[in-house]
Amino acid sequence: MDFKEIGHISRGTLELGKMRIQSDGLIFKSSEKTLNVKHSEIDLAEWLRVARGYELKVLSREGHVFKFSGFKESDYGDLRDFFKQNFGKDLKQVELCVKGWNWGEPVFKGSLLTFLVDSKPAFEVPLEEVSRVTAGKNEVSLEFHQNDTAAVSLMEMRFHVPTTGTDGEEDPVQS
Amino acid sequence: MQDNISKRPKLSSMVAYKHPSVLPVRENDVQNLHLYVDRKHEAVILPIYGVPVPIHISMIKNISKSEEGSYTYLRINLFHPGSTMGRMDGVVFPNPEASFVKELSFRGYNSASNYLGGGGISLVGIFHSIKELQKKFRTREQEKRELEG
Repeated sequence: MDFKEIGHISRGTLELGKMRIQSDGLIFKSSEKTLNVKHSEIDLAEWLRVARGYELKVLSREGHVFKFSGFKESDYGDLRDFFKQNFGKDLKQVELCVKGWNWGEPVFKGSLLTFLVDSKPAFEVPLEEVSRVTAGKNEVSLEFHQNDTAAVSLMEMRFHVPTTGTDGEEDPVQS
Repeated sequence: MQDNISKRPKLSSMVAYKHPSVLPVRENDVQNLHLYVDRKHEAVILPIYGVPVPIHISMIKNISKSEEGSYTYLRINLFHPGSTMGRMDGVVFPNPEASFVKELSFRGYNSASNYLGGGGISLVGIFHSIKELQKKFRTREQEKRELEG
């Protein structure tokens, strides 16, 4: 299956390119790079509504996260069937929390930090984008790699963490 | 005692969007991963790795901006336990065991024309829109409290 005008989210910006999804895996090609995710590397695939259409999110067995957006709502059915038949994976539909609250629970999976609000993901940060972590009393701060071509880029995010919580917050980031 | 507690403002009663389908994803600024201020829903939409993340205006404590060279920096401070002062005194935080996003900083070009692909509002413009929305929201909340006596 071929898809045009697909954006790969990297360093906070969208790199536009073409995507081919075939039985041995996913190939994304832009003028800058070619990305290959082999069939056997795919651990988890998710489908979510994002800023530009729908996003196909793939988590590799090594914990890398690939975020491709620009898919249409109507692509879901075909992609779901294809993932099921060829990769033996369910393309899980994920609903994001849009309540606008700032409290929740950080959850780590592979190199992905997901902030759950009201038990649903509100946002996700690929930890590869984090350049520096600072942990203080009740506070964890993340600084991000910058991209000069992005119109707007996220620089820093600070979290208030309760003292009673586990100290798991910074460990997965450092490793 | 019980009555006093129930009269305190509840943060969790503030909801920006009821369902993802209501998000203003057709707006150019949202699609282009810029910040966007939704006056109707009283929310600020932040671009976080491709996902439009709404923050309800009531969660925003204060914002600040600075300009350095060709960049504008926008810092958004959010309410969290330990930050309660002034206006938010007595607010019941819905879950003290939760983690809170307390601060977000963005960097943008300080002239909209520098934006790749052109268009889009600068972070200075966003700064003023957030301030304006905050003022509107706080005035309304104040009036509501006065009406309730």
